[in-house]
Amino acid sequence: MGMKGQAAVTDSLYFLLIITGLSVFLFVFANSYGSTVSQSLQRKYETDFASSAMETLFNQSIPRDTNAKISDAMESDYLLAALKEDYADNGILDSTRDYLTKSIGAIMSPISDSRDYIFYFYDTTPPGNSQTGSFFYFLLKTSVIPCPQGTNCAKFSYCAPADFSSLQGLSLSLSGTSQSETRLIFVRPSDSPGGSATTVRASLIMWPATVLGQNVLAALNCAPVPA
Amino acid sequence: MLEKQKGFIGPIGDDLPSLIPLLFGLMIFFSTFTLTFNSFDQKTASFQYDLDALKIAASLRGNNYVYDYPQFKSLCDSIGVQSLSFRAGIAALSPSADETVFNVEFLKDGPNSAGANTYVCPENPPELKLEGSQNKKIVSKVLPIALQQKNSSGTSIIVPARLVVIAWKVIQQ
Repeated sequence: MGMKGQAAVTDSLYFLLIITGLSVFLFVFANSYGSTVSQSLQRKYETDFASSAMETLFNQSIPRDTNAKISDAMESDYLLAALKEDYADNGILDSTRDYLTKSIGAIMSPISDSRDYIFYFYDTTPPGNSQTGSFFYFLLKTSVIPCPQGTNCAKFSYCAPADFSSLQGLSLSLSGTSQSETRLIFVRPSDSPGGSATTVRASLIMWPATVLGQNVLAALNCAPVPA
Repeated sequence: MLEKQKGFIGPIGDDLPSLIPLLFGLMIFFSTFTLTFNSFDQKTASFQYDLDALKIAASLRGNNYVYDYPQFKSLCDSIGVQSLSFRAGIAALSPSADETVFNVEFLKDGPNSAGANTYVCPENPPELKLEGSQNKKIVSKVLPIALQQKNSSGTSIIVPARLVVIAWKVIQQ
């Protein structure tokens, strides 16, 4: 009979212990709730951005006279049409390459401070006796980290990876990538082995700006874009 | 009998000490519950704002190619989002150095004259000012878009531009 008060205190301490556990659970839930949804929303936005960028790029105009400015060109054409024409000439992009690079840089500029990206054209038809296709345009944009204030922290490079296996190192070192890819029909130079029409994969992959390892860059075989 | 009742202060008084951890526990539980509920509610609302802003952007984007103002207007009319106030439109690809969500300059469909239409949606968008923005949850999205224009030679050209969506909601303080 005399122990009744102590029993009640013990019961209430057990109650407090259970409540504390429950509260910790609620607190952890409140803090972690939404991080996955937030990431999914961000991923959706970036995927939308990548596909918009790709469509905008191919829809935009290029002056027929490559020395003219588009703002006062007398004749213009779709950039994609000009790229196909250029590729059909000799199997590389020469007259349109710099315009394409500038256009990609401009279109990606809204997110360029926080995102790095690659854009490439990959001809899926193996040239000659080769077993794999080839990259005939490969642009890599990286960020200088840490970036001194007032300087241009975007670094553009043309790369020439041997094949898709050279991209393995890059894909393994990245997380949170968003991608947009499309398949296009290009015309190859008439003397190319393997026929004239070929399927080309155009791909834009972006990721949160990060420092890439030297081995990754070496596999990509990059050289800075001439100023 | 008296020995056994030493310190006994009645059937309720004896249980008084146990009420302290009991009340403390209830207080902790309800505080955490309220905190969790509010946090859940706020985050859910925030996701909804983000989703609505993406919906507005998707509606205006169409097939990513705006060839004239009437087409843009019809895309604008197709937006079904009512839960947020918003101003959206097409702006030049390179923003000015002092551009913020409060002073985005949208492009016009012709030379700066009285007859030119501005690529902005809705036609008379609500104002968003820095003053009084503290109690607003503001969401902005930017997507590239292709816009057809006439250049100085009168040739139709397609230039890359920015589709800017700025949406906001007054939040309860």
